[in-house]
Parts: sequence; C-alpha cells; structure tokens
Amino acid sequence: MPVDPDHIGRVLDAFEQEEWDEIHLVTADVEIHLIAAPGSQQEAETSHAPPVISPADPPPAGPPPAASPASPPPALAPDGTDLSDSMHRVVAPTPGLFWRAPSPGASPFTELGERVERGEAVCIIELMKLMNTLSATVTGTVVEICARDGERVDAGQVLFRIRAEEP
Amino acid sequence: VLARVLVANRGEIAMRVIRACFDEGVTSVLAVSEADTESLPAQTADEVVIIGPASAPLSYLNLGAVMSAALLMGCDAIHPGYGFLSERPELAELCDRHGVTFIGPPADAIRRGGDKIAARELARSLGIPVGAGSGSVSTAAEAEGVAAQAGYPVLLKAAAGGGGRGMRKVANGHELAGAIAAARSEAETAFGDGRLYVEHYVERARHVEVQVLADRLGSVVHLGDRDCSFQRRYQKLVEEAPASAVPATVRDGLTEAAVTLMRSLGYAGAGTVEFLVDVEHGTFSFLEVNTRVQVEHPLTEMITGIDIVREQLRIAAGEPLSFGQDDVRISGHAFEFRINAETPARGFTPSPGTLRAWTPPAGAGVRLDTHCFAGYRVPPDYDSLLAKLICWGETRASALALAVRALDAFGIAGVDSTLDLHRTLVRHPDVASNEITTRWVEDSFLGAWAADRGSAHPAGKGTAV
Repeated sequence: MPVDPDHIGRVLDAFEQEEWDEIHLVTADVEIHLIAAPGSQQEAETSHAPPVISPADPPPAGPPPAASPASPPPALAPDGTDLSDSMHRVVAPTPGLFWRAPSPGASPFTELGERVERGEAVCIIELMKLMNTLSATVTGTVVEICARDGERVDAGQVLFRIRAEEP
Repeated sequence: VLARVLVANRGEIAMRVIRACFDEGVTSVLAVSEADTESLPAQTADEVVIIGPASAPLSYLNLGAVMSAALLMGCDAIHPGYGFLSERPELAELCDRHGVTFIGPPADAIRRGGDKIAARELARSLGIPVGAGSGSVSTAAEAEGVAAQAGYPVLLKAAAGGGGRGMRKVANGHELAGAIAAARSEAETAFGDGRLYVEHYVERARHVEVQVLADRLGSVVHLGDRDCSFQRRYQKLVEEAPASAVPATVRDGLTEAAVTLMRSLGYAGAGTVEFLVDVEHGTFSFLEVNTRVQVEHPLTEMITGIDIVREQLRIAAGEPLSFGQDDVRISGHAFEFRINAETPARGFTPSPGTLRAWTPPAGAGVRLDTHCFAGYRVPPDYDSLLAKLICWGETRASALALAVRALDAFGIAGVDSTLDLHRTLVRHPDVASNEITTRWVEDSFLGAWAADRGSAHPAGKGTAV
C-alpha cells in the first residue's frame, strides 16, 4: 500500500513532539530519514533538521554507510612497534559485538595507556544476547585498542594489545 | 475492530502474531531491522517496514523507530510480542499520545506489575502469600538482617529483573556482601536499575504460573496453569501444562490468587502470574507478574483450545471476552521444548550460523512455532530461540511418548542446538514419574548427560551476565 502523505505528516509531528534523535524508516515506497539538529534536545522544536524524504529506489541493499564501514576502522592509535615477548593480546573467543564499557553510557573498562591488572575486565563480547566479559591475561599497559566500541568482531580477532610489566 | 497491526518483534513470535492477524482478517505490518529483511516473518507479513540497523537498541528496542513506523504505515495498533519493548510502559504511553492502540495492558498496570518489589507489596496487601524476605535492600548490613530473618539460603533478586539476571543464590552470611555487589552490578547493566530484594530460597520447588486473560470491560479469567520447573540458570528449557504434579488444592489457590492480583492491577490483555510451589510443604508464594504474552503460551492454547494471541487482538479492539470462566475446559496434556541454537556441551554457548537442514516433525498433536527454514541464516544479533516444539496428548504419558518420537524425527544441521539434550531428557525416568524441581536440570540431569557424552560439564562456567 502506498504511503499516505498524511502519515508522513504524523511521523514529522511525532518526531518534533517526542524529540527523537534520529528516525530512519524504509518501506517499499519511501525512505524517511530524520535527524535532529545538534543540541536540539533542549532547544526549540523547530531546530530539527529538515526531513529528507526520498523515493526508495532501489531499496537499500545493506546497512547505511554510517553503521558499517567497508574497511576495518582505524583502531585507536597504536603505541609503537614493540612486538617483543612482552606484548600480549586479548582475542575475541567468539564472533560478536565488542563493547568497551559494562553498560551503555558507563565509562569504559580501560583506556589507551592505562595500566590493567591480570584478570581485570577489559571488554564485553556480546553474542546472541549473552554478555561474555573478557579479562586482561597479564598485568601491564594497554598500548592498543584494536576495535571500535560496538563493532562486530570475528572469533580470533585481536581486541587489545597489552605490554606486560617487567616481572 | 483493528485494521492494521504493526508487529514490533522478530523470530517465532513475529510469525505467531502475523498468523493471528491473518486469522482475524487484520493486515499485518512487520517492523524489521536490516538483519531481518529476508526473514520468514518478513516474507509472510502483508507489509514490511525497516526500522533500523541490526543492533537491537537502534531498531527493535528503539521506541521512536517503532512508534514512527506505526504512524508511517497507518497502523491502528502495535503488538510488541515478548521481550524487546513488550514490558516498557513508555511504549504504551507513546501509543496513547499518538492515538495508536497498544496491544497489552495499560501503562500503569505494566509499571505496577513489572516492578517486582511493588508487585510483591501488592500481593501481600491482597493476602496472597509472598516468600519470606524483604522490600528493597540498599546495604549489605540491611540485607544481612533480612536474610537472617528469612533464613539461609536466600536468593538475591533484581527489582527490575527477568531472565535470571541480577539473581544470586547465597548460602550463608559470608557470601552475602560479594553476592550483593555482583547482583547489583548485573542488574544495573541489564536493566539500568540496581535495586535488589531478598527472598528465602526454597530448595525443593516447582515454578508454576497461571495464564490470565482480561478484557477492557473488567472481565478477568484464568486459563489454568503451566509447570516451568525445567530450568537452567533460571532460564526455562521445557515447560508443560497443566501443572499436574501439584496438588489440586494448591492449584486452586494459585489460580484464584492470579485472578485477584490481575483484577487489582486493572489488567487488560494476556498476562501471567508466576508462583513458586514448595514441594515439601505444599505451599506456594507469589513470584512475579509478566505483563505480556509468554514464550510458552502455546501450551495453554493446546489444552484449552483458546487462541491467546487472537484474544489479545480482540481485547485490544475493545471487544468483550467471548467466554467466561466456566467455559474454560482443560483437556489433555502438553509439553513444550525450546530448541535453541546453542552448544549445550560447551556451557550452552550460542551457535549462530546457516541452517543447512531443517526438517521438523509433523503429526497429530505436534505443533511447531518457528521462523526457521532450510538455508536460513541465524543472525548473531538476537536470542538463540529457533523453535518451540509443542506435543499434545490426551494424557501426560501419551504427550511424553509423542515428544520422544517428534524430537527423534526433528532434523537440524548447520548450527548446534538443544535438540539432542531434549531427546535424552524426555527419556529420563524422573521426567516420566514427574519428580522434578527447579534444581533438577542442573543438579540431576546435566552432569550425567555430559558424562554420557564424554564432554565437559555443561552446567559449568557459563558466560551469561
């Protein structure tokens, strides 16, 4: 059934009224992408960005570009070239989503350059709603974080490089 | 009468709701994430709208995406299924504000029923037994006092809880402080609400729940009970109905309590009241209210002949229940097996992947609720439920015998599943004699099952948070 223009109007009204951040809907007939202007949440409703409404041809084949970079994203700055025995890696045991914090909005378990203790939690791999907390295998300094928060990772993918402290 | 329903869910429950819409002559509009555009429900629904990326917080859990999809598609109602947004009062309120019918109870009933501490207080005020224990505890010292009074072992539970998260069994006072910290952080993570309460832990218990249907005109009926004692880590594996192992007097008390509680909540729609039955003492206590249709609702449909999801649609449209309490007849017995994409021998780790083969059983008394088909790629983004196999017989023994055959006839390849575990379970003498408690799967079954298979203990270290 073709989308009724009145219905699009109702979506726009609701978007303003409810102060949603972003709405992206795709049907057989239309694609609607609404993004609130930066900082609009506390400001007047009229500061919402003008809606982008376009016919959906062809329907999108995959996730929008913002959600899925074609190539691996640049990891947070690697520390250097030290690949000696003192370098340890934290590796994803299963595929899943990589989360750096214990819950949405919480501060990350660890940051680049920080010291971690052996056994200390460093990230979560989420697979089919199960949250698997991964821990540092060694006490040392985080010298590289190799995946972005929320990124989908594969089994065996390196997530952290940690330089072990001198024993 | 509803004309267009937005189905705001995925997987087998999306199929179930789409089917009910078909039966009621209602147009189904499915809201899908980008991961589900090729799913069976997406192929089956009358219309489809993509509401966001695979990540559930951006799609199926996104209130704005779901609400705006209903508005865009001109839907007059939203069915939330179970999980995701189904027990979020905010969605019911959004629906109210935008003139869309929420297929579920009023926001206020979700709020009061869903908060475990508040619901316990309500039950207590109605004279319904609640387990020895507390309201919200905030400090370890406070919990220690309550625990000592309730008697060890105790169970720590999250006020906003569900699915066993934020739950900890504590054997003695020494373990309490550590357990509180762990349970609180788990509850914070899972629900954004770290409030805990303490309950006496019943060692030999059954988990029994009562299915309730209420219309918007004040009529409240129950559709009998279900026994959900087969659990691992507080997750249900197998359910059956009716709860025939529980004495009739206790069961009468449960159903009466459930109706009283739901009436007092001003409930409308389908809901469930869960109880713990103390097997040794023949007593029961209130556990919680689930303000949505439940995974195991087909059991009740099989033994009553009442289509719960169709009733949900009619109730939402403002129609009165088409039957009264005296019209509800329980006939026969049914089992439900949750077929999950998991590797039981490796601590039930999820096993997403592509189904190379999918050959379900068929026959009189066999029902399969599923979204799977040969070639389907089970995405890694959502829960692991592949199918619910429901087997009905005139007696418990005949239902069990049918289950043995149906499970044996089921063929799945490409992902690991709990199928083989169920095949062993249905042949166990304790199951035939119905001597099951909520501890049975973990204490009496899994260890022996794993040993037989020569694998590691599957009840061992899991990864659930």
